[in-house]
Parts: sequence; structure tokens; C-alpha cells
Amino acid sequence: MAKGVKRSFTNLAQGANTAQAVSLLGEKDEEIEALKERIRQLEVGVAGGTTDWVWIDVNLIEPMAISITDGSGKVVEVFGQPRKFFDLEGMAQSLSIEGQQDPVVLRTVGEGRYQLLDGETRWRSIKDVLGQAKIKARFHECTDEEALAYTLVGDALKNRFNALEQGESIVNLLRSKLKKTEQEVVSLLYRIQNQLVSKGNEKEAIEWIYENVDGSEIVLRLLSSLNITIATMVNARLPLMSLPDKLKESINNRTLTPSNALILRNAPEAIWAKAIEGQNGTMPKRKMKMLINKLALEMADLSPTLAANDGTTIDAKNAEVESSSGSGDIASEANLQRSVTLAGAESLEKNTNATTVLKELLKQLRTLRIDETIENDDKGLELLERVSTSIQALSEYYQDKGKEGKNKRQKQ
Amino acid sequence: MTQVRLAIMSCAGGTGKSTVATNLAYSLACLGQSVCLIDCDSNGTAALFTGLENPSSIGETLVAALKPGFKGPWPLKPVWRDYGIEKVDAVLGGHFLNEGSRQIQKEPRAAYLLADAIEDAPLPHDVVIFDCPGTIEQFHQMVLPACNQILIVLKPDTKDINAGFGLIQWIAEFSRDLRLKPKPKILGVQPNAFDKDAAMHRECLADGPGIEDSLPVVLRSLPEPIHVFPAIQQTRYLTNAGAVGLPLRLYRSDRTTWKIAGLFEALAKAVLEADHG
Repeated sequence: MAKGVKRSFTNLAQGANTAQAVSLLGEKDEEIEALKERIRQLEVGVAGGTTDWVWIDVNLIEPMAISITDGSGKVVEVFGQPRKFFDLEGMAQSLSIEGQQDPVVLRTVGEGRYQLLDGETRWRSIKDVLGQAKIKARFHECTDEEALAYTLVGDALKNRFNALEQGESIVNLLRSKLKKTEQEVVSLLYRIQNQLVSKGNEKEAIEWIYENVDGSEIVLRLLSSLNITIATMVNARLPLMSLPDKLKESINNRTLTPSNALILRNAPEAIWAKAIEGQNGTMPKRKMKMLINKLALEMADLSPTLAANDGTTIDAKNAEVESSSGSGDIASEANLQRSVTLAGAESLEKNTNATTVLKELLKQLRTLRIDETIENDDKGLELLERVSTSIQALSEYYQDKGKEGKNKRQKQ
Repeated sequence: MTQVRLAIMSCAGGTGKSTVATNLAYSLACLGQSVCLIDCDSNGTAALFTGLENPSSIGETLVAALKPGFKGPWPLKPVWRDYGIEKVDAVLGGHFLNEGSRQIQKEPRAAYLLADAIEDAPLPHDVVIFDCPGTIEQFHQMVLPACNQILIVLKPDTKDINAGFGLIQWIAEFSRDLRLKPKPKILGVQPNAFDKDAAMHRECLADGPGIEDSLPVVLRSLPEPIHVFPAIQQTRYLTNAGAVGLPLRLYRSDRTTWKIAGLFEALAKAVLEADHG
């Protein structure tokens, strides 16, 4: 500390600052522990402890089904348990070792007919895998809406939902609360989000929306009770719901992550299977993008027409270099033109695509600052990777073509 | 309503804790609250400022309540009854606390004795004010588990403010050491004896756009931000009132004191409006 200089209050307050921060962190730790305990209790407590259960015939039980009625009370749609994925084998294994610890939760839906509110995995494992006749169950009588909310909150707490299931179940819950169609609920969500984005002050915006958009208060309160923002709902949940069924199916059986599904949607359908197979579907987003590029290029059947389509591009020049180094004979434009005619219209179209992709990549690359910062620039790096993959694919192709040409000439 | 138990603390002597404590007690009484002022200081200022006789035995002081198993009654002394104030009482401190301190040291629940006494023999008052000593010692430590609000009184100069930050640090650390749940909240900092002609005082309390290093700014930036109340100006009236055992408004109720009396009234309202867990 320099002599004769007044120490700043900020400096003097350092000890107080640290002590408060440490103390607050300690409180947060305790809060987290308390929450964990609460969730643990809920996992038991959703099944109400272990004292008040009864044995129920597994065949009297049916999965959850909630009816949506229109204004006149007519049932317009029935939908089931929001969760789609059940690890039956895993559960069966655990049940056969430990026995059934927690009763499943049922509600009565008719004479001797019960519906599952919680415990579908246990029920299916006991009935279908272990082939047992009875299951421990507890009763919680409730309305359709409560049943859906019960499952939603219970599963959300236990982190069992993926983003798609969560989005779908929230929309369904809103439909039943608001008596609206799926399309109406979705438009309502977009409308609220657009209003929030367009109005600067959030608090005032919310008040305005409550007053002017019917049902908005129910929507926002439900989302907030589930700890989801409207922005997340609109930007990260609704897009998943409009995915093609094939991709949704992969999300639900956990072979594809929701974010990868969104990327894959824009790629040609023909590569989906390869992009999902094995562990591919659960790769990080960035790797998935690279894989899609690679698969897309592999798919395009490259032929000499590539160069013919655009004699001025770098790839075309590469082609010339490659073929000249391979054969010692420079491929003339006339030769290439002839190949185009031979290759036919279909392959021409594919190759045009491949050229366009490469041209676009190279154009983007040129606009980037090519200096030492490029390695720190995620976008640049990704682009470089894509270009290098593409160029490699092209160069391999032309090497093969060169050899082929040489062989042909030797034969002649 | 939860009983308000306000500790008035500072980390230096002569900042005006007892002045704030007695005048605050008066303002609270004017708002219809019953108040118990507990003197936790061995210098016995509270007796002086409330016009009470010094205690003649240890049994007339706070020490009486700090015996394990204490079930009451508290040694309450009525305050300012002659002046029409009906609901203010005091528990005296003074030099007997030094003797008490030696006994308390041996108790296993030393830090919790005051909290235990209040739990086992609840005081009927709406508000309890603990007038703490100017250094962190045994009685000071005992107040922390017993209170639910803390008001820090300091003079707006670098020495007092430095000590004040030390006090804030101690409150955070000791609350954690004692595992207080909920821990007491710092209601705010009350600058006292403000001299508007002193540049240092003005700089310390400066606030507004462009001010980066002043008491209000730094306190606001803490992980748990702390409020700064409007400063109480240095005035001989406050000192004179204390010397004759009266709150300012009972000593002099003309226009010369209405501004400061207004500050105490606002402080009293803030005490009542705070969340006491």
C-alpha cells in the first residue's frame, strides 16, 4: 500500500465482501441439500411412503390417458403418459434384486379399473418382463387435469423428461386448462413471446399481456411453476414438436439428442439413418454438423462434370492439377464437356450441388479474417474443417478418376 | 407479528449507539409500540440516557437473565413514565456485566445464553433493542443469536467505516460459525454525528451517478447489499438530551429538533416494516 494514499472503501470492504460471499455460498449449499432431500422425499412421497399401499392385479391397470373435451364436453382427443421411453429391462433387473420398494400411484377410472399416475416403468416391467400378477399400489384420486399435472410435475422433478416430452406435455396441459386445440395453444405461446420481445420493459410487458392476451396468465404462471421461460418454450420446445416423426421417435428412444434433431431436420432425409446410427445421434452439436457435411458429400456422386460446371473455381483447378499429376495429360475442357453429356442430367444436378456447396464454403472462408485469430474463432474453425473435409473428398475423388483415366489410356 | 429484536452495533466507541437506541425506543413508543431496551454494554450508558439510577446489584442487571435455566422475571425498569411514555422498559447493564462475563465464560452455551433467556422467558414487548458494546466481546457475541435485525451505527469517517466493514465481516462469519438459521439481517447502516462542513464526511456518504468509492456504493455492491439511512447531523442537542436522560424530542420539542426527530421516526418505521423472518 502506497504511503500517503487513502485506501479505497472497496479495498477496506474486501474482508466483509468475502465473508458474506462465503456465508451465502454455504447457505446455497444447504438449500441444494434441502432440495435434494425434498426431491428424494417426493420420489418416495409421490408414492406416499410405504404404509398405505395395497396389492392390485396388474391386469386391472391401464396406462394414463387424459381426455380433452371441447366446449360442449365432447371428448375430442385422448392422450397418454407424456413420457415415451421406459427402461423395462433395467427396471426389471432392479425389481428382481430389491423387490418393489415404492408403490405405483393409481386413480380409479371405473368399476375395478385403475389408471397409472406414476410408475408405468415398474408396472410394465412387473407385468410384461417379470410376468408377476400383482403390484404394490397406492391411490390418489384426481381429475384429468390434475392427473396430467401430477405426472408432469413428478416426472419433471425426477428429470425423467426429455425436452420434446416436456414440450408436448406442457402444450397438452395447457390445452386441457384452456380448452384450446394444439394449434391454438402454439399460436398463443408464440403471441406471448412476440409481445414480450417487442415490448422493452419486461414487467410492464407482462402486465400488458395479462390484460390483453386471453389465457396468457395461465400460460406464464404454469411455465414459471415448472421453471421454464416462455422463450425456452417457444425457441427450444415448440420447434421439436414440429419435427418429422422419424426424428421424434429417435429423440424418444434416446438415440438422438433434441438439439441434433433440429440440425438434422435441415439435412437430406437420406442421411438421417447414418447420422443417428450407433452413438452418432448423441454426439455434441458441433460434431454432428461435421458428420452431416461429410455424409452429404459422400452422398453426392461426384463426376468430372464438377469441373465442367465451373471452370473458374478452385476445385476445378484442383481437378486439373490432380488429373495432370496423375496422367501427365491436362484434361481439356472439351473432354470434360463430353463427360457431362455422358454422365447424364441427373448426376449433373447432384454435382452442381456439390460445387455450389464448396463454392459457398470458400466464399465464406475468404470473407473471414485469415490471420492468427482464426483459430480462436469458432465459426472460422468450423468452416475450415468443413472446407478441408470437402476438399479431401474431392481430391480423393479426382485421384481415383486420374487412375481410372490412366488405366483406360494404358488399355487403349 | 414476530417480535422485532434489533441489535444496535458498531465496531468503535462513541459512534452514538446509545443515542440511536434511546431515541429510536422513544420514536417506536410514539408509534404505539412497546419497547424493551437491553443494555449489553458495561459502560452503562443506557442507564444514563434513560435517566435511570445505576443498578445497585448484579441482580438488577442483564446478568440476572443469563443464568442457565432462567425463567424470569426480567429485571425491567420503567423508562420516561413521568413524561407520559407508558410502554418503554429497560434492562440495565453497566460494570456488573464485567463480573457476569467471567461467570458466563464457563457456561457451555455461552454464546446462546441471551437467546435462551428470550426463548424461555419471552419479553412481552413488540420491539426489543439491544444496545451493544463498542467492541466485539462476549456480550456482543451473545446478541447475535438473540436478534433478528442489526443496525450498524458509525461516524462517516474512514476509521469508523473501516471498523464497520470489519463488523459486517464478523457478523457474516460468526452467524455461520454459530449456524444461525435464520441468521439476523442487517437492516442498514446509520451514519451519525455527520458534520456537513467536513469534506471527509461528505465524501464518505456521497452517492449518485459517477460515484464509485463511497460507503453507500460499496455497501450496495456487497453480495448481500446493505442500506444506508440518511445521516443524523452532529448536534449538541442530542448530546445534551442524553446527558439528562431524555430522548431529543422530550428534551426540546421546538423547530430546532424536528428534522432529526423526523429521521428517528423514519428509522422506527423502517424497523417495523423490515422482514423479521
